[in-house]
Amino acid sequence: MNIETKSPVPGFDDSYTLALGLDTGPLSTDPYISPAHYELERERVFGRAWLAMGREEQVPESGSYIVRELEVCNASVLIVRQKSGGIQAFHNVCSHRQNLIMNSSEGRAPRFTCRYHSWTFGTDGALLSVPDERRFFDFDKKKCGLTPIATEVWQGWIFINMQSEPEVSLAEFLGDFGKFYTGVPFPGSGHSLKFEANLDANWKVISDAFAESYHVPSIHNKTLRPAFSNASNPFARPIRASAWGPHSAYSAFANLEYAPPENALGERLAYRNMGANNIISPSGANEIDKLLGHPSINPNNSAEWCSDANVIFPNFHLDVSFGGFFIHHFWPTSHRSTRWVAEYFMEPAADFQTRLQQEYYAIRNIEVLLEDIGNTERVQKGMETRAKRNIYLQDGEVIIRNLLHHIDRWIKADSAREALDL
Amino acid sequence: MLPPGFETIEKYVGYWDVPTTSERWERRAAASMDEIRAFYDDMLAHADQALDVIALHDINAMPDDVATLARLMLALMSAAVAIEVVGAPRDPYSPYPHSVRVLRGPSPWG
Ligand SMILES: [Fe+2]
Repeated sequence: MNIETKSPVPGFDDSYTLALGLDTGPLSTDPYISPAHYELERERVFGRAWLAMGREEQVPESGSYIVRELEVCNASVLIVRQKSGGIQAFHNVCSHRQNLIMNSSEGRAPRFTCRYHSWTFGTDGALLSVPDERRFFDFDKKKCGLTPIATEVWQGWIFINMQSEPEVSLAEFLGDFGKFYTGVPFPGSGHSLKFEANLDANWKVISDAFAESYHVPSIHNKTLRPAFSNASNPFARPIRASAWGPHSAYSAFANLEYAPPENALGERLAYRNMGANNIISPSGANEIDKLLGHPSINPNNSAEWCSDANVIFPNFHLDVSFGGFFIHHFWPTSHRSTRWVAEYFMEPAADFQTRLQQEYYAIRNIEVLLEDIGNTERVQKGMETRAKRNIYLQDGEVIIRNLLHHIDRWIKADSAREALDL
Repeated sequence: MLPPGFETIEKYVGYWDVPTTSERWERRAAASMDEIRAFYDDMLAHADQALDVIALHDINAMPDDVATLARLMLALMSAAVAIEVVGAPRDPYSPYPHSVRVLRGPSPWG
């Protein structure tokens, strides 16, 4: 879709919002501030949707595990690489007196022993041994294994579903987006630059901060504006927007004329082996050529392309830029607090020039992220004043509108199948 | 200690040579603009020479003095963002101290 607007008001010829069949009116702040709405999200969205948890490289060998706290579902999740090679998630809860079993967030173990009374489970969840077992009554060890959580892997991404028998498969849930992104490689997925923060804001306030580029020339005035807007696109309008049911994507604009300023000697030092386009790239170009060459990356083949942000319903962003790929998880911890985790994947540097470039990227990125998330708690407070009950979204903020629309759908639908129109 | 030839920047080791990306950001955010500028100017004056020395060694097996020099060069990146992009030790509109934890930086010295 062309970004040249013929009239001041977007019409059917140039509006992403209209093209995606979405309403254009103001939207209620209830989903951001209402505890009752949050309870519905817990039950009907997070309780029924497939949730992205991590990469298969994080559990490389039999017995490798990660533990993730899922406050929104009152769950502690133990994800384990099986002897068979598959990946299975379990509730990290002992069958005896329900102590949480594993304390560390990652590791490798041949079996899992609860520290309370040393009940021991296999990597497949089976209860292996119970001290002084014969003093229990009518005891059947086979019935006392770890409680499994439905687990599926798509393109190396581990998803779980908290329904005991998921209504829809992961493939059905991801739908046409899953097909569209099949075969996309994820180079450097074994190592990431990883950020985390606990923020006093609804999870969607944080997600929204990364779901549009309208804010770039304003809040990122110094850090991003020069590279991601110019005289032809001063408001950093997105150069594409797509939706596949609840999942959506937009592509952001790059200023092709951008080069580090003459006097930016540190920046020039960092990027002295690179082209000008690599301003926010953490790694050399060779290993990501295959990623960028995939037809689903920059699908319109726009010359002025800098990144694709894919919003995988409900709370996972899978983004691709010149430098490779990066992700955001937005984990609700209450109706007005969120644990945000961002990871920028990159190979460990093989030489110091690459490492220097990664450092520049990491430091500059910290500034950008502070601008993004530093604002979110203020947004939450603003909404909670209830001075105003609606937010306004412009055409470039269409991805936020799509998310809110589908959260509403999932809350109103009697089943995940109905919410997905299956 | 730095390798021979870098005596004039030895005085920066105490403050700017810290183990991780996150600490390099913190050191810069807590410094004055004059301190950042002095470090930045001196490091840039020695940058080509430093990168030549560092390039003689495997990134994962550097002698201690070369590794110290390498970490000072990484600290230069943090100083450069303050001088060239933010125009201040830290963005006055971003929260400070902030709640973002760098759980893992680039490897090594992340
Ligand atoms: Fe931003």
